[in-house]
Amino acid sequence: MRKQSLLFFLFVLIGAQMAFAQEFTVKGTVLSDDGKEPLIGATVLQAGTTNGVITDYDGKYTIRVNGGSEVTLRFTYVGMKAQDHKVTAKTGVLNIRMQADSEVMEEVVVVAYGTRKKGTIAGSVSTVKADKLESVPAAGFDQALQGQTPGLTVLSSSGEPSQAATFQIRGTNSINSGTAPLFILDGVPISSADFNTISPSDIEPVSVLKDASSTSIYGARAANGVIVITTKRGRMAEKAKITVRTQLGFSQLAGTNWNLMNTAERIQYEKEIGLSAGQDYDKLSKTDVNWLKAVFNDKAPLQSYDLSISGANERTNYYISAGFYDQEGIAQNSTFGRYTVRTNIETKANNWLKVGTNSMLTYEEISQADEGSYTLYTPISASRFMLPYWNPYNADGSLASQNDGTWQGQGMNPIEWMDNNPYSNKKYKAFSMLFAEVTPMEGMTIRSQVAMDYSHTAAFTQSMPSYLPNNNIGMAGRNSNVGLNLTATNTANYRFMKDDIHSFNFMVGQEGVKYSAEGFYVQTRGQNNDALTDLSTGTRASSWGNSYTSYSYLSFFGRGEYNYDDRYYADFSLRTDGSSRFGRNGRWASFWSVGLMWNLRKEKFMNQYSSWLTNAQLTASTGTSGNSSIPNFEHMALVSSGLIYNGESGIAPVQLGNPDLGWEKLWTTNLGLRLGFYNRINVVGEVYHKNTSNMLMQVPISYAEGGYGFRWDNVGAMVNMGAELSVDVDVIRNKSFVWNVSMNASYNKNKITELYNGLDEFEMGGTNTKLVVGHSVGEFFMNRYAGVNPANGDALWYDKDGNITAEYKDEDKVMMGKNYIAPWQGGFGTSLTYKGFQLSAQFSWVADRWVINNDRFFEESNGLYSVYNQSKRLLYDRWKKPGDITDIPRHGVTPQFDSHLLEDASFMRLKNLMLSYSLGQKKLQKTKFLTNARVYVQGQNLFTFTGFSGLDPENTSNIYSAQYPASRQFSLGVELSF
Amino acid sequence: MNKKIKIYGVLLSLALSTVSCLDQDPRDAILADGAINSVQTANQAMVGIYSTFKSPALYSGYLTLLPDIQTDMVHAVQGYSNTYGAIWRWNDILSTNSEITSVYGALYTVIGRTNYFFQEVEKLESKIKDEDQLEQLQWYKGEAHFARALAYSELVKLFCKAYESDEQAANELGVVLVSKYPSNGGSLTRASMYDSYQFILNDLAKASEYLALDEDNNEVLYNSTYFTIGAVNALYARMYLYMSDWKNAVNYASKVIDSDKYLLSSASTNYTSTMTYYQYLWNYDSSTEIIWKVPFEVSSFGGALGRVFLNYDYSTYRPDYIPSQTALNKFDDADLRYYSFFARARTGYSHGLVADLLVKYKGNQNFIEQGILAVNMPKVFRLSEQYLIRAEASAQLKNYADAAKDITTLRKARYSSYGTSTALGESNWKEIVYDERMKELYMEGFRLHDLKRWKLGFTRSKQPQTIETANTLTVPAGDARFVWPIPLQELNSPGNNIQPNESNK
Repeated sequence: MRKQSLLFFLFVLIGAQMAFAQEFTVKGTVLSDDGKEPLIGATVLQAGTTNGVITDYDGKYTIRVNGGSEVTLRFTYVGMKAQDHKVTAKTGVLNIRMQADSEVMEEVVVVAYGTRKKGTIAGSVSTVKADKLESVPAAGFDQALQGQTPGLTVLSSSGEPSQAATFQIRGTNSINSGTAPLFILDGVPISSADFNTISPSDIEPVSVLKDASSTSIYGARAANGVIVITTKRGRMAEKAKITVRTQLGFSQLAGTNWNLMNTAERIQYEKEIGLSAGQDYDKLSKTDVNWLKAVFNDKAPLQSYDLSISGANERTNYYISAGFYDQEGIAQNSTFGRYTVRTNIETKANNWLKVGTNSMLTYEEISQADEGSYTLYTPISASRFMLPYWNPYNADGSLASQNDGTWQGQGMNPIEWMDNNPYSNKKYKAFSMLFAEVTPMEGMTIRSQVAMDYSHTAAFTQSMPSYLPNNNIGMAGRNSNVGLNLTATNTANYRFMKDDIHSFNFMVGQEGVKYSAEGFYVQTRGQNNDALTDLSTGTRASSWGNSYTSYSYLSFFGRGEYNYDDRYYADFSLRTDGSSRFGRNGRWASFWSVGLMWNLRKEKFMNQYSSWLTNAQLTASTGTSGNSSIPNFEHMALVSSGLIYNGESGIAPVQLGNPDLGWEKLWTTNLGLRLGFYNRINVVGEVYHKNTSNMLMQVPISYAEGGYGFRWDNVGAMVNMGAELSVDVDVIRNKSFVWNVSMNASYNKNKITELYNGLDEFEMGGTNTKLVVGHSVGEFFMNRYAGVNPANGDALWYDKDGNITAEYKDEDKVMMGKNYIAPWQGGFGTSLTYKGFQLSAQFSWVADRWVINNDRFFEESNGLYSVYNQSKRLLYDRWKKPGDITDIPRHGVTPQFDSHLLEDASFMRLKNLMLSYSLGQKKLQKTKFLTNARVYVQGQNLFTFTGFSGLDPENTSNIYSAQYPASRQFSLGVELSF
Repeated sequence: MNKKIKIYGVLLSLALSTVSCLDQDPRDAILADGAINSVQTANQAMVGIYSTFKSPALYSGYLTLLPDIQTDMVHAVQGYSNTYGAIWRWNDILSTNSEITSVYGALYTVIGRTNYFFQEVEKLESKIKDEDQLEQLQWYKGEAHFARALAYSELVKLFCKAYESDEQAANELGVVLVSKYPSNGGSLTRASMYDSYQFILNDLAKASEYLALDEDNNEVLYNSTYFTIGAVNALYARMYLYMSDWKNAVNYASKVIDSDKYLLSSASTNYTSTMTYYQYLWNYDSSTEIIWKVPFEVSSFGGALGRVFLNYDYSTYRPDYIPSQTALNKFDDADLRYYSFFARARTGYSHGLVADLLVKYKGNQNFIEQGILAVNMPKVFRLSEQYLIRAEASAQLKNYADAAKDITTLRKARYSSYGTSTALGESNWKEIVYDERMKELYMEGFRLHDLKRWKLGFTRSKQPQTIETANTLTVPAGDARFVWPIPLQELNSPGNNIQPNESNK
């Protein structure tokens, strides 16, 4: 008995000791490599757990360790090599001196359905880091991506603050169906129209997935590449960090190419062409208005405020933020205001279940200026037509009005028109993703994620009754659209090692997406009170309608990854997708990919070069993906209603349908080489080949078939091939001074290899382009302008054989070899860091892009529009007498849409220039509460180098017409963390 | 473990529940197959066909305006917006012209909708036993046949040469004839002009049969917004005139004129205290001489016919086009049409041109009251055209007395005072009849084809403040552009062999 009781005592004693051993404290100081400076905010983490702390202002830490008598503590700090130290209860104090990390920082790359360590993937993925996005003086992050990544073309066709840029990855893959990449926000597909609902400072990295190995797993809609956007989360073992960001600035026109006549020139011109009858030039010559300046604001304000709080304990990490962004566009009635709130939380419910959510609420108030069409009353367009001796303002600064006759110009005063026809939008967005992750056994995770993406836009438009052209009959219109996207994703992932050398990772999954949207609009007329102009004050409904649309996808997929000793990597994936956009005959399709990577640098025989060759990887991948970006119900033959005749409502067939429609397929092959030298120079080169087949195209059919003119079909094929190169060099790198230079460039060649029904060419009516097998999509097809006959001032053209003719004929059009889709694009930048100062410049460029400058058709009209303002060239350069050698014909020769309007819209832009200063650690220490303080000034779009004669060469279309030009922004920002 | 099973269960049910959602249907449309399944839906489909005629590409816009703007009727004014500029300049008319393509497309939309109607109604008829219902369906079919004939009649008018004789027509290109929805299948090609006209006559024969009224029927037919036997006969007369089949033209025009269902609106007799019958016709789009008009409501209307001639914004007029002096000069002093069509005003351009503007389409007064300007209901068939058809055909048959009588009847209704007869004979009949047609049908879409039929060219004479070069245009008779180019789309459409016109080069 006693023995037993003794034993019992012993057992208890040992137990108590074990309990003591399981929890002990280690403390110490973390210092920089020279041992002089304490490191603030270094992370100390108990390996294999989420237990961690960060160092305080003196570099000191205290961590309570549990879970074993000997555990490993991992010390990490940005820019320093991580260190692992074994500690026991006896350790007590552990002081660490961190070593600067000369190796590539261990980065994580966000890939499809997960993240991977940089340098361990076969796929072609480029990442744009948060610091490029956080301080962008724009509503969306899209602008900040221009010129950052090879192969990704980001072009903005409008200076409207609320307008998203157009994205294209590695050329255009399709003629009529969508060419925009798939955008994934926190694992959920979203539309590019929603970019401005996400605060750029909430974004962590943006990954651009370009090849089959990285995109194929997204199968459906991945043919145009994938852009994965991840929002911030609290870092493990981080105490609450409060960050405040604010930015104030203003915008003005980026380009000022303006070649219209001033009053003196205009009067001279009118006299020369015989338009002077009845004009009082003495009076008119006293006014000289530059309408560009009258219409565009040169100090449109911009303000932005963000507050975020993030942190984590061993179970939960969180990131909570709120933001307000307000920007006025440089054009009238162009504003953007946004309020955002975000909560990202993850918590370990128990040791096998993790749950979390990323949720966002956004409210926006938007006004957009009219652009793109030629009118005499919308300001952007009208600024080109208004005569310099018409003043939109009276001497006292009030608006010159048609109502009281103070407006002396013809027709309407565009600025007054805008004031009397306001248009505004409100957008409400709620995006919430919820996930649960189960770890039933070591290495295995099962994740289920549901997301709801809701948006509501409401527009309100008015036309004021008191405005003279309305004759006391006002108008009000409202429309409302609600869209809901539901996404459910379930994945199971199993990762394991064998013999410490074979690493496997398998995933299977399923995904479902359902989108539906409905809306309606009503417009009423007859209002007679400006202040009360709304729907209910109208006397009758003048137009109304409703809309509904929906689509759904269902997908099943699997992926396997294998690596041998960090030397050989392989991955393969398979995915099957069904889309509601296709009939039962063509609904399902399967996509696959294989990716291989050889990490040459890890081979033993390479060790002899390790002094200078710090990275060498060879990658290859091939596989397929799909595209179904067509209208939602195209496969059905439909009859619709809403056709009114004599007060009765009728029905009529509205589309032919095509039950055999199916997926467009893209087969991509990619080869890449990644090299690093001396840890300072990193080079990535890639070449690719993409083959689009079964192309979804709006095929022209005879109008005799129901009057439609087009129907969707799977026809044709095209090829894109190209090469990309990016180089990043730390020219100088020492403790206090770093000079980094980076550049990227890409080239893409597009070729149509097949059209339809044996046809090998088709002219796209009204676009001046033609699809021809063997040529690229977007190649111009026009009559070639040959100048002016010096003898009589007539316009001349080349006929199709190259002979000069004075007759403009359809049959003389030729393929121009010039394209509106730029084959070349890229960017380059540099940054200089000296102690707390940083100066950086980022350029982006696009080369060999051509566009028709439609504005010049009006400005150089040779008499067709001579009562409106014209280019100075018509006064100075037009043909006036026999013998004149010029390219502008005599007055009276109608201009044609020929090659004289085709211009090179290549450009290089200083996208961003920024000077910033961050407070040093020592100074921060003195404040006792600040952990980071940064002040910066930046200029966006400061310089543009281009030969294009319009206001803005940046555009994605074949035609440049009355475009809202890009703006230049200057801003001052402050960023503080506590 | 139980929890895990539950989770797997949830995942599985989620996966299965999403499978069924791949069938998505629109809510604002229904499947075409079987959409016409009752007499009521057949009526709705017929309403759908009628509504197509409201299109601004057709009678309330391009189809009415372009053929006249293209000729010597108007001049483009300095400061115009270049609306229809390519058409007016004549030499810039290309196969990619968007207005011409719209007209072509809209006419084939009418044809497509009627073909769909026939196809679906045929299925429906086999299921219906009720005699009254069958009779009702037959009536709708009559309207549909007429709609198709009307659309084809406009196509042959614009896209074909003039029909001189059956022999000549057999060797000239007509249009693509389609009688099924979406098409007959196979390679589409243009039928001969002879076959194209025969197709129209066949449709008219059907329409005539189904829309026939009893002899003693005393229903009011004038001012109709639906197709009637009167409209059928009026189109017959028009077609026969275009086919140079003078006898039949006289015969069918007479059927309309002698039906006693219509009466010319007098320009000298007051209908209201302030308006004559004729003024009322243009101000309220209502008259006893209207055979068929496209009805508009303030909440649902088509194009604004008068816009390009006025562009009025309650402060100034900035017309794109003003009437040519050549046309204005043709009107006699006593001709009251002049005052209904034209009014002198100062334009709001900086040159301040004062000119006679076209006010024929200044707008229906009921619409103007609601702030809708320059919108008139297109009056596609009017009795006056039938008098002109009969006068021209009679004169061609050398029946000058009859021709003179018709001209006299028409002028009596239009002049403030007119004698009892018109001096008309071999030597002057063309001038009289042709000019009368130009004046009566000014800017109603007849001029281009009339000049083509009459083998005439034209010359524009320069007027102040009009657009250079084209304001002195001379077009010889038989110029290729009297026939519109076939839209490029048609020539390009794969699998077909649709031949171009001479103006397609």
